[in-house]
Amino acid sequence: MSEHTYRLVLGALMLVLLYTEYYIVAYVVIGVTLFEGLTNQRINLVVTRILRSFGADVSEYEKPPRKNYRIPFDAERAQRLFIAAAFAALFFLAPNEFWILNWFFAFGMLLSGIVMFCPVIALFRAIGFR
Amino acid sequence: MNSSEKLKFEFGQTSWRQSIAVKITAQIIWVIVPIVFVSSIFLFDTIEKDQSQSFLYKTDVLVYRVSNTILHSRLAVDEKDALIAKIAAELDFKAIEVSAPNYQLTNKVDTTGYVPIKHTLPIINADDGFENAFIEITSYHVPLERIIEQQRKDFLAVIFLCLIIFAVFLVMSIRIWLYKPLKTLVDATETVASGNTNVDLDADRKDEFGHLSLFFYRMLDSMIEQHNTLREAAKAASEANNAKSIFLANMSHELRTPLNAIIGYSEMMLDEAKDRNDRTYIEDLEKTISASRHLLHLINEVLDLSKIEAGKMETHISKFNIQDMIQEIVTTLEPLARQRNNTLNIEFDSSITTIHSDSMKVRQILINLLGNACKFTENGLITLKARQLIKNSHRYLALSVSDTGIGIKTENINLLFKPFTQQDNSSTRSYSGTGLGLSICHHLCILLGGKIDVQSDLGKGSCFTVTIPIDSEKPQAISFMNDSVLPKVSSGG
Repeated sequence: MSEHTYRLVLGALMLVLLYTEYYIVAYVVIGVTLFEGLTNQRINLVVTRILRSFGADVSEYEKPPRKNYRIPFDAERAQRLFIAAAFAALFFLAPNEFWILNWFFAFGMLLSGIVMFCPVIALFRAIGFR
Repeated sequence: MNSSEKLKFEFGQTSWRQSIAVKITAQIIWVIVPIVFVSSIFLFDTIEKDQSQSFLYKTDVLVYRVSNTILHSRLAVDEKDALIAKIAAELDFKAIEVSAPNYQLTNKVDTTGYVPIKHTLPIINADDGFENAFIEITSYHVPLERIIEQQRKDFLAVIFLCLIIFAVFLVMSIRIWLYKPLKTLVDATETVASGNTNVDLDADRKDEFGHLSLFFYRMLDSMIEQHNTLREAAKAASEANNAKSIFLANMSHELRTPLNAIIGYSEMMLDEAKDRNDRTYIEDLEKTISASRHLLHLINEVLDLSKIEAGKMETHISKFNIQDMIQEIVTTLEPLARQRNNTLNIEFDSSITTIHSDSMKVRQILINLLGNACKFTENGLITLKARQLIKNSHRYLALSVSDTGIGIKTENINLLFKPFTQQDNSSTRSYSGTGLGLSICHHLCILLGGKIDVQSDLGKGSCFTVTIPIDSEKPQAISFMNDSVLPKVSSGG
């Protein structure tokens, strides 16, 4: 499972949850992304490992580690933490004032999956994350 | 292209993701999306205001029409009930309750979750004798906030859908119009780079890619033509070079025979002159012999190079004592070193005694390097170091000849091993020589399965290091050549 596919699925899921106002699942999503960021057990990597254990060819999902970085912390991990923090802050602290930002982040994730470019990850890499 | 390859190409997991087309698409999309979002915030504000006004307007219309029906309609009570319910439904009210002096309408619908809106109207025109009476209307409607929220969501859903359609359309367009033709050109370039000139491009296109394909074909034709010309020229040059080498080898041989006769007869005449103590002839004959030997040395060098270039130089591997050989060479060259007031030192690794190699060629290499060191050093120190190197469990002999002489310019180091080349023309005049010595050494080292390296500082001296296998019968020389333990050519400083 590629990072792009993961973002596409997660973005679509968040949008559906926001539309249907099924917020309990949204909290679960926040928890999962927080767990991914803290432990680096990212869903796409876990799925890739499972697929590999079944003998599937997953070479195209396994990128070589980046060599030029200043901070030895994966940009994808940082992105997960950012998403979890942003969603949590918006849901718990200011759900009415900044309601559109939830939609913006969810849609951004979906779109980054489609166009295969995530500005948040690009920003983290520009800062120096791995 | 089979189906799986086509599938991979279509979804291009690797190449498409890394392509310029993805970057362009992402740039466009990520510029548009924030603009749309910011615009949406302002649009939502306007929509909310409109929605509030519309809500108030609907409530006013309901009150007006209901009160009008109660006061002025001549309908029966049942008909009035039906009409008021219809009016409420038309204006999106869930239920309505009315209380007037001559009319009552009670709500029978479940209104949980709906907001009651109460209106109390005084009856001013009391034709029916209802002075100081009021009409009370309670309507039930969905909360305004909920309506606004639903509208926001619907609006956002439409915007997202439009953006996704736009993104997919953009991705597909860029993929079809930009990525695929570009990839075809890249693949064609890769094919040509791998040596295959059979490429298929669409040069009939009228856009830039068509022009590029056309010029690619023209460039390819020109390249093939130049390649053929070069190949023919190289073939002709190679044939001429071979002919030259064969001619030189033959000619050198023909020259050596009479020259050996001249030296032989001159030596005999010199012996006779010495017996007769004829000083005039002795000096002349010594000069003749010296000049002839120099000429013979030059001819031998030309002959060696010719043999190497013609691929006729052979090696004769035997076991010999390298310590004895070095001692003998040093003894031979000591007078030459003393001519320029140089000191000749030997540093020998005692663990090396005998080696398997071509003794004649090792001797030739060492004489050449030491001879050069003596020639280009004055009042200095010349050191010959012999040590053993072990690389990948194979043993090698490293012979280093270092001097404190004139050194070599950095830009000239790469010219050292080219035949007929000396540092500059003045060197040729000052130090004599053909410029073949180092070239021959270089070729001989390769022939023995080794290599020659040089380090030099201009004005401070040079160090030439020859590395050859100690046991030449084992064919490990090539791997050693590729994985050098010493720098090949470098200058100090």
